[in-house]
Amino acid sequence: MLSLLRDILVLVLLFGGLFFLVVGVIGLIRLPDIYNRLHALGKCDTMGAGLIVLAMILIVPGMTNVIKLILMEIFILVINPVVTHLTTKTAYVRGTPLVENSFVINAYYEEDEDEGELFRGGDGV
Amino acid sequence: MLNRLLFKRFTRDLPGSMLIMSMLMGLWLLISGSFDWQHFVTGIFLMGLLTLFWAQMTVEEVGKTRFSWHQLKLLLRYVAFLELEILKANFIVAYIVLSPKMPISPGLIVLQCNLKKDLTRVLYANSITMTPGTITVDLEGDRLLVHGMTKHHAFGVRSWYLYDIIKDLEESAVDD
Repeated sequence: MLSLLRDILVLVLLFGGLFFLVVGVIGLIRLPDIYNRLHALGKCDTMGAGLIVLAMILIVPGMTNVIKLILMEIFILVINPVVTHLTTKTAYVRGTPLVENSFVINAYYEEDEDEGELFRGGDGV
Repeated sequence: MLNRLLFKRFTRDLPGSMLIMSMLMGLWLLISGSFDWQHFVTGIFLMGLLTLFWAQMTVEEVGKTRFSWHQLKLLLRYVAFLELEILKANFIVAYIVLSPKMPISPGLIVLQCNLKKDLTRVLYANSITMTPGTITVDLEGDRLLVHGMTKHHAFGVRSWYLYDIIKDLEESAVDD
């Protein structure tokens, strides 16, 4: 009974991971420019790979394997955003153009001013 | 000559080196999965060698801070909220990618970020990358360049509750 429940949970996690990986690939094809594509890849790959590793943690026998998988999970979570950020930065430094109708806003000084306080609003600053 | 240099680095922060060594030792024992004396001897030898050779790579914050439970609590709260945001981010991206019209209005936004310590800066930049509709392009000085998938998400970074938590975390640090 318990192993059946575990198998069902593992299946759900595996298919969830598969779903997010597929979403990442579809995003890579559909979205217009490199920055938007990295949105899809950077987030969905982390989630997809993370869910699949989580499913493996649940089903793999032996403590040593579980620890290796947990380490993998941590590395995925740390490395993936860094690589996404590096790719974006490289594209930006090389002057890769944004897609048409993109906005570029400078909101740098507003945090000091009163409007900035207004914008933060009900947060309880 | 080289040997003496390495040893000096090792002994300059002896408790720290010992801590790193014992952490590596624990990891080694957990991964190897067997606890007989051969593994202990091999482990102590190899971990000592590793710590000796990589002694110059230890994290060296200029201003060390004192450990406090308050900070640990803030950090745990931060991580919990971050996980929640990552989950949300994935569903938002899935929604945007799979919807036939693709409701995006992408662009760049320059923001101010007043974090001082390297560790918190890295943590903050990474969490912006992992959360809904935004990627950190650059963080230099106090100038933060963010690419947003929609205008709404890009502006969301400016009044973000995780920034307040991480700011608290940094300010509550007591210098040692």
